[in-house]
Amino acid sequence: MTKKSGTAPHLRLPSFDAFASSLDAMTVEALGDDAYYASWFDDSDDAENDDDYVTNADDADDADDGFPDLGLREGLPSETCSASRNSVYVVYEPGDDIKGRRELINRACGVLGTSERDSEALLHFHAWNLEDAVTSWFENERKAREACGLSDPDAQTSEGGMATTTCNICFDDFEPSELVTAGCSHAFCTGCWAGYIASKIGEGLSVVDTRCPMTKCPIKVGEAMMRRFLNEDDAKKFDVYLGRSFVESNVKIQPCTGIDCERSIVFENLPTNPVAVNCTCGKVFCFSCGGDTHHPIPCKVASEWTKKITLDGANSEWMLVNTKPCPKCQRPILKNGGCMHMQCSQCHTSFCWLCSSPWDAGPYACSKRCNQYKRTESNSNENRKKRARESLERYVFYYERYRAHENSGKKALEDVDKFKSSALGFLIELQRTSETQVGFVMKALKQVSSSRQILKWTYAYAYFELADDVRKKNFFEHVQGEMERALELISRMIELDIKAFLPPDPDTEDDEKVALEKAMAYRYPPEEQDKLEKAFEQYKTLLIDRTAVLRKSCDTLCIELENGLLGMSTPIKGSQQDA
Amino acid sequence: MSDQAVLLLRKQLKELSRNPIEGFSAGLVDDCNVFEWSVTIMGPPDTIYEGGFFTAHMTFPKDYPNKPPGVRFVSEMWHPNVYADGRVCISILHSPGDDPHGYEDASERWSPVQTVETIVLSIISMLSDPNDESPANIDAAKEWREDYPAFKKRVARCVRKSVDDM
Repeated sequence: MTKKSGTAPHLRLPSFDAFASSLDAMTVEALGDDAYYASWFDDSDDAENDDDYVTNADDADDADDGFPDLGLREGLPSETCSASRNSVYVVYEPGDDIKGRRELINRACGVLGTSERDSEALLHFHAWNLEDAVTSWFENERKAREACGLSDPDAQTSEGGMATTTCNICFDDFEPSELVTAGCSHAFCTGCWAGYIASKIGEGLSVVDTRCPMTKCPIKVGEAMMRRFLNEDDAKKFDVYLGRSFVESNVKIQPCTGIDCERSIVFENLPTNPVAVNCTCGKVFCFSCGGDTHHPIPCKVASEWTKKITLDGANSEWMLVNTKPCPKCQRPILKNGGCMHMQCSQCHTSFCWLCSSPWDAGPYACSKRCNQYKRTESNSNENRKKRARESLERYVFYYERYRAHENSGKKALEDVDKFKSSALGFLIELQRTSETQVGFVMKALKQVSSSRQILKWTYAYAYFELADDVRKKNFFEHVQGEMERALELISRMIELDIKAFLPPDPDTEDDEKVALEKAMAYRYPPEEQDKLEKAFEQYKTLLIDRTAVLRKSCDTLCIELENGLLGMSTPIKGSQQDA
Repeated sequence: MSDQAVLLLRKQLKELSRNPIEGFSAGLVDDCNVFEWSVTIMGPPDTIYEGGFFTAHMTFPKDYPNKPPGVRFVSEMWHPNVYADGRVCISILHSPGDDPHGYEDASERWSPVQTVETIVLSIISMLSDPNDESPANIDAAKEWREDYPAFKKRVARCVRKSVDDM
């Protein structure tokens, strides 16, 4: 795998600071500029529309100053994400979270006519969900205030007549004007407030929810008041905590899972289905579960599968032969002594090694008394072994296909980069044409890569979800098979057929540099030029058609999976019968 | 910040020597160090600790009152919420910290309005009413729950010892 793969973006980045400063100009626009929005797949069936979702990636590429792709990477699996056709998201650069937070507070102020302080507390309490905040406020303002630590406005007005002149922390006496409250009746001097708030900063993220220092007083200290008592360094930390808390509690925002990446992904409208998102650092991940993208199958199935393959992996065979699942928690158990009484080290369930039924502590024996031979199907050792073998074979079947598509998908992703760096240039030169005229190969490559990514997950889905429903399984395999055929046709075209239009493969003796020079100097024989140009035109038409077909069958498969394969009763069923 | 701690601790010491609170007496371990206190707590009446005079040391941090002191019994003590080494484990001696739900029971956590007096009163209330849910001394908690007579006996020994040590 080359460094260019999406899984190791950090390797390609210079220091984050240098990177961020180079992006300053972009950062400023980040929240307002439409160009910054990454809109997913268009609804149209027109295969030529792909460029719609290539965003500022290209701008960044053009000004190639040694920095890697800063914008959205092309050719990533998520691009054919039919689930998220209308989902629009934006990438927050570090610091944008604070701006986004402020924006939301201002919006709440506008809607509710509340002060910034009230809006902030209310939104914080409702995990930055404006709708929830507004609803609770209009339903019962008093209750909403109480819940989020705001004082009763009526009580606030009586604050002027504060009786006490003693600070409740240092017990020194002050003029009433020197004492400050958080909006309740508990007055403290400015020195004690500063000490209190500085010590809260040291406590970490919880500083964003600082309350009045008085025991049992629920009143929240507003942001403005916090800032009043913070020194410059602490104010910076406070900003970081505010941003982090905003990102962490807001379901519409997910921090990027890329290593060392401090950006976050923000949706205006929360997508209903799991959505693969693509951070500017190159990381692609599932917005819903934070794991690697697994479109089009649900997060739960994907995580079960990932768990299974990492847990089982190469050991699955050995595990099947040597371990048994705990009857309660299903963790694999290895027998480590001679006694048949097993106890799961994780959930402490006691069971009999021979028949997996609960262990009877009293007589210290298996509760089923499994020494007594009963002639039943399930007791037959032969049957059990057969079932285990079948189950293993079934798993291996799906696993092999999952792995194969994963590897091919990775290779296709590398091919995109490789093609871009060499073959693309040769083609333009040899075919005497322009970059836009050969862009269709890139599109096909990208489609292959994303289709393989999708295919790989469909095998995980089939393993878990389609074991029992034969009708669904047949239907699914039909749709999946259609897509696979379309995919292999294209794969062949872009891996083998295209060679007819490229410089011949380098001699094995040549070193890299010589080979490259030779390839660059290569021209079609003059008598072949016309013929090859014509053939390339045909190749182009065919590949564009096939890419569109693949994309369509890919979409069909995704939509079917998202709808739980209910499409069996829709017109697609007709096509199944036709086939 | 440390100046504030010194001033505040001195003030509390003066106040406590002028108006002693029933149930305990307080002083410094070493007269030059206002951050180390020694308090003697009388076992609360009508409890198995009655009659005992338990000495505990309170160690205040430099950023008191924004951070809680540590309290450790130097007299032998047998109680579910007191570690074997004498450290007292009650919620008001803990900062809310990073606990995201810290504010749900904020009333129980440390806050700068707590004083020596309120801390000692909390310890006295802990003696009469152990908190079984988060025991610091598991053995003591188990005995308190399962073998109360033995627990009582052990406490009685502590009470006697504390009087002998006076």
